[in-house]
Amino acid sequence: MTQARKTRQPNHRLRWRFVLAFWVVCACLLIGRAFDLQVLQHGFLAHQGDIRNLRTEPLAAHRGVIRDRDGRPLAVSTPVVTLWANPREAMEHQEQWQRLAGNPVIGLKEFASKVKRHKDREFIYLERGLAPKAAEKVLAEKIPGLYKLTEYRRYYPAGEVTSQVVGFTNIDDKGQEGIELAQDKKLAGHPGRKKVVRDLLGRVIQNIEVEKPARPGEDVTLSIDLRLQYLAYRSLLTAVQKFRAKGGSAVVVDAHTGEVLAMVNQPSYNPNNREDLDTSALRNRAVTDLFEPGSTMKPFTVAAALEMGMVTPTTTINTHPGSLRVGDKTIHDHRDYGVIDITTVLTKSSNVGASKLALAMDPMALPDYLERFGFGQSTAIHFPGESDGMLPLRSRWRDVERAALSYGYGLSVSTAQLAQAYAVIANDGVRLPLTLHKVNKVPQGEQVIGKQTSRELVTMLETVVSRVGTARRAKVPGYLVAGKTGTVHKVINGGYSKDHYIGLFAGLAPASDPRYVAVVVIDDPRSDAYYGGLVAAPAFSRIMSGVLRTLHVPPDKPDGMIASLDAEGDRS
Amino acid sequence: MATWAVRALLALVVMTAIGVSYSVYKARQLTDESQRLQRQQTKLESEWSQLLLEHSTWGSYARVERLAREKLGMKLPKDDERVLIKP
Repeated sequence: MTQARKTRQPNHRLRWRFVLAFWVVCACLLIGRAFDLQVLQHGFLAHQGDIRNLRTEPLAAHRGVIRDRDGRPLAVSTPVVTLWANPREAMEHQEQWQRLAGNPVIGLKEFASKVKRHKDREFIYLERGLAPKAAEKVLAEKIPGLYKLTEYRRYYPAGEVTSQVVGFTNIDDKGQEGIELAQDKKLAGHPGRKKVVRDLLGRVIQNIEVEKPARPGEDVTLSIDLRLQYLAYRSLLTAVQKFRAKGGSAVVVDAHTGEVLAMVNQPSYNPNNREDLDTSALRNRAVTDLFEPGSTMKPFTVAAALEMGMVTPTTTINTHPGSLRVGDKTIHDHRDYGVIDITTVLTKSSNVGASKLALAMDPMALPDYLERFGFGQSTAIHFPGESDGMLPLRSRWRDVERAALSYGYGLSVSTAQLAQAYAVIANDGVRLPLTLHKVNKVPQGEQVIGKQTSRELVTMLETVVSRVGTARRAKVPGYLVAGKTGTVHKVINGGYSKDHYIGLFAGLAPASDPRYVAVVVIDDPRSDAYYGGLVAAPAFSRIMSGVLRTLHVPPDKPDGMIASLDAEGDRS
Repeated sequence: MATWAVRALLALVVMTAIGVSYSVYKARQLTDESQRLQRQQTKLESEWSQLLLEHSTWGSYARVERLAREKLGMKLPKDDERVLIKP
């Protein structure tokens, strides 16, 4: 017992020290470890922790919508779902494929054949650009190895009717043509980023910060009226097909605001399906393609003569014998009109009459006036690929050049420029910048010719559409219409072609209070008819009557065309 | 006196600690809710764009005109079928 106690005593102390030492060592280890973790490895560990919980997430931003003047969508971005598969993973669960049997989007057979054909790959597209609802039908089956990817696709509801004006974007949502290109900066959405903390189940539990705020693209509202655009497109298409033309374009302008209400071209394309696209259809011919305007230029020659006080609408001019020799060139009329007044020069489209007027002017006067109407300069619409046109400015003019200018040869214009110039006549001589964007406040225009002159011109141009004029087919029942035809020889290989023409018509209505201007250009009609009064005027009539009806313009020449209430009463 | 103050402080510390954890819990809940709503917004936006497209497809002028002509037998009134009423 004493022995035991004796031996126990030192043992007791020893054990105490041993335990103490053990705990000290443990504490040291723990402190050491804690120091290691908290100080030495802090950076690494904190980073690893963040990797596991902190996530940088994209903030989506849509591209803006392009709308027409009444808010109808012309270009819309919409999310689409692309289904893809990992064939290796899918091959391991073939027994589950049965669930796809009879699926309307991707059936069992299709899935099996696609997966088996590429069974060693890890990524294949199954179906691209599906509507989210359709994709959900497939995803709901939860087939292993079948995944989805959300992408954005741009849709153009109006299709080929607005294609060249609106343009399109590429696969990266960048504007490539038309307004999509011109307004890309405004339309583009800028996706942002944010930092978040996620929990074990993947739920976002804390927003740390928005690294870059998402900026969705702005909407763009055009001046186009989709109803008129459709109408113009259909009328132009009919004319181009009927006269077997190579192409054509038509532009409708509201002369009081400078807004382009419709701008259509043939040939066109469907921007929603550009697989086999003919690149010549891409051009917005109304602004990119130039042509010599021919007789549609005569009203401006007459305008210059009226402005300078050289003539009045009733001044007579001798066009006998129907031809005029200028330098080494002879200018012809269709026939000998004899002594006619200035109005008849326009009514009958006399080249001789116009030439005589031009030759009586100061050499710089006519080009100067044409420049004031906007020829030879780009319009204000700033459209990609717009052509400025060509108005020669020489220091010395030969007589033959001056004469040619008076009836529209020796300069080149675009359909849009021609519409702009006729809008000046329709707007009491005030030139407004042409625009494709909706105008809220009409800009201050520039008085190019006197109000009186433009009124007189309208009255003179009304005779062109009368029974004796060159464009009977341009008339619109119930309305007074003024306009001018043009038929020009196309320039092919540097010379005027004998049997390739451009037929055009430029006009305005209602003539009693002009407001709407339409220009129709039919390029290279291959039918027997090729005169502007035959190929372009009927399309103009169809477009203009639609414009006036759609925009609720009251008829200004109702008599004889529209049944009066009495007549209605007689019939019943 | 001193022990009383210490106890009171201790109680306050415990209370604020509970408060902090509660508000963190609440914050996470609200974040989750806002996330859910954002997802819903995205979904609704995409649905809206789908409907917009559908609307313009069904209501396209070409289609409306065709239906009016073929199904309903409508036509543009001729000039002598129109009556002008002056106000």
